[in-house]
Amino acid sequence: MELHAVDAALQTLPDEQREALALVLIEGLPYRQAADLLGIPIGTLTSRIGRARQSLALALGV
Amino acid sequence: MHLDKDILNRFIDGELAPAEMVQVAQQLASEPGWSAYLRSQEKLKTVLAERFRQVETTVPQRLIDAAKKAPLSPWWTAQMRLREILAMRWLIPAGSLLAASLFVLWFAAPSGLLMEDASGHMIAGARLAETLNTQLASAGNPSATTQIGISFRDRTGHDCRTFVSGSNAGLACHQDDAWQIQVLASTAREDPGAAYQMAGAAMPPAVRDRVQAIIAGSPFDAAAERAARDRHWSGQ
Repeated sequence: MELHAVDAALQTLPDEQREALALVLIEGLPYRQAADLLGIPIGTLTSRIGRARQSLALALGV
Repeated sequence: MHLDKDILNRFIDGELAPAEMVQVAQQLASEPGWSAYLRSQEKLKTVLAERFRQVETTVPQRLIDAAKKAPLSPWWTAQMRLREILAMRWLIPAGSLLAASLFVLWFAAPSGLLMEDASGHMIAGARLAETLNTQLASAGNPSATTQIGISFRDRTGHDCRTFVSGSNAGLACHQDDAWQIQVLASTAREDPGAAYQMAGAAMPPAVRDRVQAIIAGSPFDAAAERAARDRHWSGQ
């Protein structure tokens, strides 16, 4: 898979989803820690990650 | 437990309680309808891992700065140390396959999976050590958080055992009164149909390859496993 395609897909995400995804999937923070860092409830974080995952998977065709 | 994408995302990210991780893993083995979703998400994690360094730039600087200054818990500090150690010892030489596994490695650590000895070696933590010392794979204990795979003697005469704990799998050999971790990897693999099976049947390639590299003879049968336990895994 072309790496620029990954970048392009990431850039299509709303900032709030990209932040949540990056903190958890890339930085490896636990949900609680990521939620605290973003100042949002853990349920909100979970839903943002879920939407981000879905969008990325669709965009990248994985 | 009713499986849905939210539950599976938390499973993939290691956010469920240990007992829930085991339960979901068992359900996934009998509910193949989720395999496409799991395959998609594992592929996504692999893609993101490959883009790891570049993607870091997508995190706003204010969050990176905040993360560095945040009063992290002792648990999280320990996980970051673990991450550094694993990256130095295994991930770089092992390549991107294990790098993709890093995301889930530390989630089992709070339950006593790993610790570092005075020499800087990765050894089994108290809970894992207890399991490795006492649990017999041949006796079967499907409700246990940590499952033992195979036991065998390596070419240097030490007793070794594979294990699966949550979404992690590893190989430990008993030496100097401790279980030295030889390799640790995620059980998530490219072939989703087998990705979340338990115990030895689903050993990641990194673990399987390490076993094949050091094993002397065949794995212990039930009698040999019991005998080794009774000898406190003292080897030869």
